[in-house]
Amino acid sequence: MLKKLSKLFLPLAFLFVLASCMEEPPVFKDGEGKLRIMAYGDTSLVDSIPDYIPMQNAKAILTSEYGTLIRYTDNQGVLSLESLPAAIYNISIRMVHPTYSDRILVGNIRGVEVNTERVYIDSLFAIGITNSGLAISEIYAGGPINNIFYFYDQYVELYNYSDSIKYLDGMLISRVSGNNPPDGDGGPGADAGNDGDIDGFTYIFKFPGNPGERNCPINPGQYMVVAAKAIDHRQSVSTSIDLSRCDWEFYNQFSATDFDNPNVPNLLNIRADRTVDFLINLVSDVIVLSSGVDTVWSDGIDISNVIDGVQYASTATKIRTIDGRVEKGLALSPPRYSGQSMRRREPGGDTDDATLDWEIIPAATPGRH
Amino acid sequence: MRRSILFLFTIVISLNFCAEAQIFRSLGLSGISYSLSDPEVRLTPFGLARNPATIVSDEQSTYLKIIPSYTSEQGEYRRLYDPEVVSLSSVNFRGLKTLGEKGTFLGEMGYVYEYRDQVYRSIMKDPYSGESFFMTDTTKGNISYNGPQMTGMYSWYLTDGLSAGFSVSYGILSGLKSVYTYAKTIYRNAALSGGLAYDLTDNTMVAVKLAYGDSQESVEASDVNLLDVEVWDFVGETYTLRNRSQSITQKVKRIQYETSLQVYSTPVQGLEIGANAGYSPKSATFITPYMSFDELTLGYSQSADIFGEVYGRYMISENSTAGAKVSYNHINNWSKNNRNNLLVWEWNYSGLIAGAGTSYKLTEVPLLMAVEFETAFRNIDSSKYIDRKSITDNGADITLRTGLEYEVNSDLTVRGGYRFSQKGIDMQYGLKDVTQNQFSFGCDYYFRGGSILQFCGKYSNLTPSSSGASRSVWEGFCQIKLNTF
Repeated sequence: MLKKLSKLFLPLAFLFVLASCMEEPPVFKDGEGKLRIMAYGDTSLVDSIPDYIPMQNAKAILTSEYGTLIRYTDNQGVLSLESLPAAIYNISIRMVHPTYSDRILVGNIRGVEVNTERVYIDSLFAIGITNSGLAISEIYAGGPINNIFYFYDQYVELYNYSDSIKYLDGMLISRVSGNNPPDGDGGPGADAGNDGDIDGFTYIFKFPGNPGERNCPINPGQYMVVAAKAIDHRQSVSTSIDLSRCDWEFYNQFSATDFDNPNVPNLLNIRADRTVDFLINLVSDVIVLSSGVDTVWSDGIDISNVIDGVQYASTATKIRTIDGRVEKGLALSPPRYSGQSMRRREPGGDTDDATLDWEIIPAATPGRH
Repeated sequence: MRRSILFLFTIVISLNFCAEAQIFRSLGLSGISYSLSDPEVRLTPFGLARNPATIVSDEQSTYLKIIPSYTSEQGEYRRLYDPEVVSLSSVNFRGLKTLGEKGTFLGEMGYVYEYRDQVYRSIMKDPYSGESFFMTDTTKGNISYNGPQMTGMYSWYLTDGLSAGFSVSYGILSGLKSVYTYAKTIYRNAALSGGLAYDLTDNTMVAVKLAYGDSQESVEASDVNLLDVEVWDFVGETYTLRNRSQSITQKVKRIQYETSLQVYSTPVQGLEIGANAGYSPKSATFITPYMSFDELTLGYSQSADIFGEVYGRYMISENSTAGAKVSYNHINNWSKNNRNNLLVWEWNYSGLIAGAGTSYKLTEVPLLMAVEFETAFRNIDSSKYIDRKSITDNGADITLRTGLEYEVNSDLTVRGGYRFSQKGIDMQYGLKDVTQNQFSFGCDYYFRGGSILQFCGKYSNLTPSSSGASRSVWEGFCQIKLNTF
């Protein structure tokens, strides 16, 4: 009987051994990350000796794989956070210049590894961003909510950050989607050949006139909407927007089908070999605003001529191809046909790091923030 | 409704074995089981633990049961990701064939259709499984699941007094969400168990059961218009990893072992004692695609369940039976973020249940009266580290079951029951001080030739004291039992 019993209980013992092979729980716990960053802003106006002040009550934007967190520094200019989930964070701290309201102080730190065993301590030195130029402030590319693949209500919005009138004469707005291997080198917007320019221009549309002329003004704090098609798109898809009264329109004079709204001035195509309308990718592309001094696109546009450039993509893990001197990060684009748009978090917030500067918004806001 | 104290924290403590085995007489008498003298309410290893080794000794006659059933559940008392209404229909065929010296075979085949109305975002079959990882999309919609399930069980005598058995089961459910992501679910569940039972003495049997279960839930979210879909992978309650693509497929793989020991004894005439104790570790792996050609294990969850239960039943006389029960259950569960090996959630549950009851059949009129009373003490300790939420709580439950059964004539028996429960902690929906009222009724009709038609209906209502919300459940079962096939 004992033999029988041993046969009976042997499998029991075997499974108990098997069960005891289960894993032990980890010792360290998630959600215990700590971060302490002292933020200082350089308030000097010229490139001389920096004049740092603590960035009191400044907005801190933390982005990670878990999304975006908005927090504020304290009265000492210290960003002190606890109970953070372990992740790699990109942090941007920004505030309005204490003396000059048309300037903002912006500092970024990328790749901050917040883990559970230690407190991350660092200092951040922000610089003053001169609002003296133009920037792309919103890109609406994904189309309205619809299931008929309608995306013709795309637009690019420009904004004058400065305190003086700017002139758009001769400037170029380009879609950069070429320069891909094997023929290209580095992808759209990369400096192929390291010759100081960015390559891969697909469409180039030009404001009327030439650089230096003063016929196309944009006032300080003014938005200008450049539409792919300046029509009331609600006539086609009810969830779309009215662009019939926008400021500018992309018009391809070499296209037999492109519609021209006679009430809206045009940007014209300077590439005669491109005979299709100006349309951009719904979720992933590179848009560049350049001065128009360099129009020889075939060998790339000089980086010194680039006023602003934005690369957007549907995932944060996509590899950035645009040259780091133009943009250091990728803007996250909204889903296709969602009616959502992407814009700068703050109208004056161009730190050349789209990951931190840009955000997704639930609806397009042409001509406003 | 007040926030659930046990958000994302549901434990099915133990299934009442009469409900699992669908013992219609017990169901009609509000779930009274161990205090009832009934050949189908067994305290044997098969009755308590579905140990396949003892069907050869338990079952002496061939039968075929056809069991259609319908359940509907609705009400405001529910958790965030629960559907507003659940409708579950099924039909099962259970056939048992005695093969003489060759043993006994039990086969079950069924088909299930479940419709979940207005599910808030969740696209997983069970987001409250005690694991810290689950997935949602961004819309509220209806989800349906349907598919077949089958089980084969065989038992035979190895030698005199030593029997063996094994069981194989397989089920597959396909699910579909009716809106936006049109999430398609393939839920596959396979289980294998084996057992040995040995007669230690003439009146004592000891048995062991080993079981292995493997399930996989694969969810594919893709828009029919080839637009982008957005799927959120929750890590805890607050933080999410958001994925966006034309098509997203994610999987949850679960593995479960069980080792248990059963003892069944009839030490004196009329007294039956059955015991079941065991250990059941489980693991769950949450897998997401990585770079379109590989898979990434996002989360891992592990659970260990230790359980023990003892039942006693004594036939005091021909007309009266008394029964008692004690059970204990302890579960330890933890989940980790697999990518950085950090602990996300840890919880423990302990529950002790004690109960007693009696049934008495009047001699003057063919009426049986039965009552069972149970009390339970539960303790919960949960720490959701990533969300900074900790809960330590305990509570006591009381449950009273009463039932009446009247034999109208030799062909027809009718019965009804009432169950009252006051739950210190409602382990299913999470609030405290929840009252449950349940009414049940049923009947048996005997055909000439021995076939039986049985029917059972139940209505129960759950109401937490802290809220005006309630949840109602309607259940209907029918069984046709044929003695040959």
